[in-house]
Amino acid sequence: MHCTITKMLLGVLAPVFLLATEGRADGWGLPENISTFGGEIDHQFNLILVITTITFIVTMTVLVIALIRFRHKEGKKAQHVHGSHKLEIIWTLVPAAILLFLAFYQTKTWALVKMDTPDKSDSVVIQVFAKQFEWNFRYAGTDGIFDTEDDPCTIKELYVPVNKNVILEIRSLDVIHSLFLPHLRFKQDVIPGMRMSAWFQATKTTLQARSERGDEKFNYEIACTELCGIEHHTMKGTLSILAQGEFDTWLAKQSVEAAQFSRPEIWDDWERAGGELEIEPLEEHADH
Amino acid sequence: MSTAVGTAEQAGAAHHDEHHDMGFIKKYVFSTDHKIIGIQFLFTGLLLFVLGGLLALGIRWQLAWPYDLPMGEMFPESMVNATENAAGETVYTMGGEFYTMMMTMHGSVMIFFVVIPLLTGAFGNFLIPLQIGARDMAFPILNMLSYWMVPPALVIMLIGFFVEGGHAAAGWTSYPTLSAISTAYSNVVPTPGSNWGQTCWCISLFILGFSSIMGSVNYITTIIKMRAPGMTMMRMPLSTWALFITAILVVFGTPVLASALFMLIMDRTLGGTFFLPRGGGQPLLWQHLFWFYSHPAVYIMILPGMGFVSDILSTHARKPVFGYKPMVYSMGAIAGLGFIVWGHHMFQSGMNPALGMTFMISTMMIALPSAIKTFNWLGTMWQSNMRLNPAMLNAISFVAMFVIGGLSGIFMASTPVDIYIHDTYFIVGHIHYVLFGGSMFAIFAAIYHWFPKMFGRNMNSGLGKIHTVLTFVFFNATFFPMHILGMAGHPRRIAFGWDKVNETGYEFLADVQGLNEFMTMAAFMLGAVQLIFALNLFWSLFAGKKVGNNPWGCNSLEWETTSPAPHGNFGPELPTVYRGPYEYASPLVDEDYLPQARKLEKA
Ligand code: HEM
Ligand SMILES: [Cu+2]
Ligand SMILES: [Cu+2]
Repeated sequence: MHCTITKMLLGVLAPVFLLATEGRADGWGLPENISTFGGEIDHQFNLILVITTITFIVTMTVLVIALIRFRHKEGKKAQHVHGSHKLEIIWTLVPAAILLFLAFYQTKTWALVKMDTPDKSDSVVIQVFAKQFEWNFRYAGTDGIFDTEDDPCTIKELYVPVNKNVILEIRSLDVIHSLFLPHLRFKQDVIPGMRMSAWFQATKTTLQARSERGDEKFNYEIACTELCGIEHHTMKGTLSILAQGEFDTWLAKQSVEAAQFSRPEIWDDWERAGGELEIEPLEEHADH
Repeated sequence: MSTAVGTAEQAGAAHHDEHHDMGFIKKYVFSTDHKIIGIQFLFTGLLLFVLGGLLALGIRWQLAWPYDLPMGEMFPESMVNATENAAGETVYTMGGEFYTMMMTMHGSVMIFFVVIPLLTGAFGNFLIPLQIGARDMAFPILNMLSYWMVPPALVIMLIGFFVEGGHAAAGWTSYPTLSAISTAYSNVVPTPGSNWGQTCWCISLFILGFSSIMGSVNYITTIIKMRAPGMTMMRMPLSTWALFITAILVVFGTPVLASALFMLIMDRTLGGTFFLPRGGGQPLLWQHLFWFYSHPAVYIMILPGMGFVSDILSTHARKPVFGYKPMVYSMGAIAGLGFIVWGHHMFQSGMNPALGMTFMISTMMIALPSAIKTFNWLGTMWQSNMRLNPAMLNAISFVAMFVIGGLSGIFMASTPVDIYIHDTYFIVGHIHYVLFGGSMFAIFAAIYHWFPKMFGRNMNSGLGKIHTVLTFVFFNATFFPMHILGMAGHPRRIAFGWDKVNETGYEFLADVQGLNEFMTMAAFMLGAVQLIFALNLFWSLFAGKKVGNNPWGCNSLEWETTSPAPHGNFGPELPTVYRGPYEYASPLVDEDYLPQARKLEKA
């Protein structure tokens, strides 16, 4: 029996070693990171991976040795001990110290991502409107002001400049969604009735990624990570990271078009809501 | 304490006399005997484990091969999509609606109808009076009612499958506004399942909550008031300690869930707006209330298992539990800390990030008592004399798997890392290492261990070992790769990550889709080997080897009485307790055990 268990444990462990290597282009393990703070998150992940793997190996070694050495022998008696003060103190204080260190060591990264939001003046602000099952993005247009005639809107495609802080102001028109940009280590739930603000800075353009990967069709993807209804799995999108110049050109062109053409349907939705996001209670739509 | 015991004893003795002329219905159906109620919970839980398991296999099939649903014609037309392929054959696929309902029901059934009833309902009922030397629970009729709350809850939950719009489809966590409205504001796609199915879900869990509360009030009272002479709190087996602490968690937590459910029902049917921003409500309120119950609930689902495993490890290792008091204190610490960590489920919800930081620190600290328990289990196995029977193998598997589940918790406790892995398959991996690797292995261990006391027969050991080892292998093959999917960013609760035939889905997940197929094959094997267990269970019920009072050479009181124990549990006199429950390998006697109730002549 014990050799089966040893083998099984080795089988379980093998992938852990494989994964400790980082920086692969997708495949297994963490996908490539292309945000300024993503490296810190990956660092924290890998640190915890090392600490937990060591803990796992040590505890499982003890367990397997015990399984091999202390199997039942007729007539033998186990050691009659009820515990050890010294051991209890050691295995309380040592893990306590490690866990407290980990907790405080994380705070720096957490503050960087969630609390040190960059100033709007040197960032691109983009409004995100989530609804079943679509991500809608609205840009301020060339005048840099929202709610004017030239605000372009894109559906399922987010355009951002590289090496520049991007602030997303996220709202939901219906249920909870969560905007997830895996390659940027970015995630923010969006609660109806609340405005969420979150930021990132991308470090690589889509074009660069395409040439590095030798894949002309490659796109960074947007996912939804909060169950938002039966078509939740289709709530996808692409993230196009452009060089600053290209982004400016793109925005200028879109702004002109936005002023010329009729506004997308989603606009009516939030116009109707009068800027305030509201949810219809059950009865009103029960006839559906 | 002993005064309370006196009255209970008289009551028990009175019962004892009538016991022969009780009809079948009173004896086995509307029974007030805690042992029968425990066994009723056991079979109900195991039966629903089959339902939950089948739903899981459906989920797994879809995740591996989303482009082809075999036997699609068996399902209602509205649930599946039929298309014609190049060869002119009809191909069925499941689609998001079917998948989301199945996923929701899998989680809800497993958590609320399988794991909690098996741990607290089945073993809580069966073990507590036997282990503390009481004749029955303090409130036998309340106890009977606590079981009979389950069938109505279950029926309402099952009705949900057949109502218009199908069953609830908002996940076991049922976050509003998705769970509160029937149609999204944008009015594009209705939210089926958020019709009557979701209401059934709410009502069913509301009723089930009463079952939990009634059971727990009983456990707490029984343990405080009805212990046998000499049974001090610090002489109680750890199973009873664990069930005691769990009962306290239930009593404090469940009313909060019940009120949240009631608010949701009002939002859904009476035009309330507790969770709807339109009327000034706040969807986050649900998350706070839900997790204020459901984080303690995850400990409700593991503490009893920890207790059983402590007892089983010590018994079959023939060695005292290492660090009895630290074991008790760490369970107390888990229970206490368990009420101040709920926010770790909401790190990305938009909750104030400073608050997130405090929840991170408390969550990191809750890993500490779990670590202490693990080290003490290893200490129990060290220098022992282990019998590797099925109960023991399951208990050891519990320890090993709980280590992985606890360690993966640290990743998620770290707020920055959780940004990336929140709501990905990493979480699903964690859940299953603690709930299947933890709770289910503990339940298997407990069944193998206490089966002789329940039915007077032993389960087949060979079949038991095969079942345990195969379960261990396929469990890991099914669930370990989930961590890898999570690292790749695979969101949870999506109907598929990558469909390689139609080339749809998330392209960044194309590379890990092979793992999904591997996991599904392993999951089917995992399901199949449970048939060995079912076979063993039923065969042993009728044809297992008959055993005496104490087949394992165990110290605690339940083994003092006959197997199965009579109505009233013990003979005319209750046992008296002279020592703690873990005096294995004691130098005072020749045998390697020294029961709690054996009086030793002073040397
Ligand atoms: C070592 C201690 C543990 C720590 C530090 C821990 C930490 C966490 C954290 C931070 C989350 C939220 C992750 C997220 O959604 O992003 C989580 C989720 C979860 N944990 Fe644990 N956990 C521990 C032990 C347990 C135990 C013992 C159980 C149950 C038996 C459990 C069951 C769950 C479940 C069911 C979820 C997922 C809930 C959901 O979103 O559906 N955990 N855990
Ligand atoms: Cu979604
Ligand atoms: Cu939790």
